[in-house]
Amino acid sequence: MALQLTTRSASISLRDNNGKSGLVSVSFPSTATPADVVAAAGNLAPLIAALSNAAVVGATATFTYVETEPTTPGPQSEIERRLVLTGRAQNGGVVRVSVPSAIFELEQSGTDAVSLTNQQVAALVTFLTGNAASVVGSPIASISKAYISHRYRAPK
Amino acid sequence: MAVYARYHFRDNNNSVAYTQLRLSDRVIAIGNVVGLLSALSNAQLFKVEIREPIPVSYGQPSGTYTLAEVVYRVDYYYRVVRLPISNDIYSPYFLDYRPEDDELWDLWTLLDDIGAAIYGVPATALVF
Repeated sequence: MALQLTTRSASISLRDNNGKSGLVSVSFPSTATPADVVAAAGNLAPLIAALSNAAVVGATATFTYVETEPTTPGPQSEIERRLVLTGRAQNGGVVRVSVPSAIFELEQSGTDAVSLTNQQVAALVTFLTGNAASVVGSPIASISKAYISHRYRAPK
Repeated sequence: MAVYARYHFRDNNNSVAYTQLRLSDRVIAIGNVVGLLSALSNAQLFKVEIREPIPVSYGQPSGTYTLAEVVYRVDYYYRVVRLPISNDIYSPYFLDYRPEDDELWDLWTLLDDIGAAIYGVPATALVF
């Protein structure tokens, strides 16, 4: 598994007095580091603001990493069949994380429920609740439920 | 700076879907979380897209802006910058514009600085 940074861009968001929004997008060559892009976006914003009578309301740096050693999709892989984890953020907000094409080993007979003690599930839950992940600015406090969901199939 | 990370998967029917997480920084976003997600899926994780919001806010909207398209060129590569130009700057002569206006000159200079630092090309290679 190896991720390679392939594209870098920055966009400046504007809003006019009719509430309409627009973007200024700039792409960067492969020699630009993420720090270069973030710094350039911060520097571009006031210059764009000086050129426009709309307000600059935000900026975003976007980075795309491509897997250079991708695995072959499993023979019965199906992205509509998802592992869903639900829980609460520290501020009480609802947490919902889903992973496409869940491995079949997670399934239990006669139910869509997935055990939170499963080794791979527990590893992701530990990561999500370890203050690295958040929803609406609040760290994830707990994951209380895991199940398999399919967009086109009724629950068991 | 918190980032939004999208992990893109592809199944054996070539259908794609993603998982989105809000994570504390981009280093974490391309760290072991990639392996954790891959271990739970039998689809192929083929791409990670990271969006990093940068807190900036300038000015109040004072009018409806006009989108003008400005093209700058580096060597053989054309890159497009879409500029929301104020009505007072925009004119039918814009396409022939040369950077004499202060605001456009500032932008030109910044793009040139990026070019000097990143592209490694002289200012004359930037063509508006």
